[in-house]
Amino acid sequence: MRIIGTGAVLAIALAQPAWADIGRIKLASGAASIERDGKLLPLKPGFVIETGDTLVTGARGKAGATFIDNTRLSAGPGTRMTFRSFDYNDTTQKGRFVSFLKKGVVAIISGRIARNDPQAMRVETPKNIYVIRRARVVLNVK
Amino acid sequence: MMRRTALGWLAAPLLLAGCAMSQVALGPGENGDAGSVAVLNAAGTELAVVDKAGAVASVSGGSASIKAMDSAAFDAKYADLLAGLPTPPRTFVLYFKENSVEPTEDSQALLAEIFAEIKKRAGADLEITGHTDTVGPEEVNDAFSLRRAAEITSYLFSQGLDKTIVRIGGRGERELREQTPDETSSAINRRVEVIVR
Repeated sequence: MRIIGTGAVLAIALAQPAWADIGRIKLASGAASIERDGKLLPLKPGFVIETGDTLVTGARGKAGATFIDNTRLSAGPGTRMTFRSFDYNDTTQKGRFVSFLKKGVVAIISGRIARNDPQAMRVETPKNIYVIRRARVVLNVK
Repeated sequence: MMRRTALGWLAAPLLLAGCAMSQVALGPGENGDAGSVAVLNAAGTELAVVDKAGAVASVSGGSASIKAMDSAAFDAKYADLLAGLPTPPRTFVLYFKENSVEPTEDSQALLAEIFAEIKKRAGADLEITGHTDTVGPEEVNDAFSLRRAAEITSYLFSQGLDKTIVRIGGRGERELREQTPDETSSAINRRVEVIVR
């Protein structure tokens, strides 16, 4: 077997810091931010989302994000959604994605986590829980 | 102005609590299959399963009610929100010359397209995932597919790819492009997929 080249080792090493990523903001407009450690961080395309972050949009704000398992999300105005836990294995493409939609409205197109395990993608709300199994949904919490 | 009775005031907090509700609408699937959503109460007990495109489940006061909606109405009703969804990820497949980590000529031509796709997308990120054929043990192939991905990553870095937007992985022989029995050499399965998100 071929021995791994130094270039490849370097590539792996350099790719490591980005692995805290669970997803990235692709679009944001109006008042839209991520709340992290009590601070509100303004959003722009490319913003890196981490586990524990809360996406917050104002009365005219909206934001779109793609997660590393290809889950896609669009948040409408007046939304507050926390990405509580996100585990993902790049080799098996299985994991678990739990978020909490406190209020507002989001569209979600599920990704690999939901595709590879029908129990693994959950959106909790103050009153109940949704388990998303390979679907395109709109969730609304008033 | 309406006068509120004592009973009215007492009932008000109950009505407010009753107002707290959530709703799920299931859209038509991207490839015809709508999939499904399970609706659970806060304790985790299943209240309903929504599996018809267009169906809407409303949850309040611990129970779920489902009503059917025309699936075309879903797209119209949520047009703004759906328009805010990011562009679907695009996958580029690179093949290799035999016994080499060098991409084939056809695959090299794709590299310019990959860079063009990154430019088109605001806040783009990349997943570079290696795959093997079914020759050899699974654990060896897991490691080998990752090396293959790393070689391409290293090459793309040398061509100016932003190092902060890349995630690499190896899928081994889990995701064959051409279905083959075990221990079968396949040039189609020996590949790296570059997914631009």
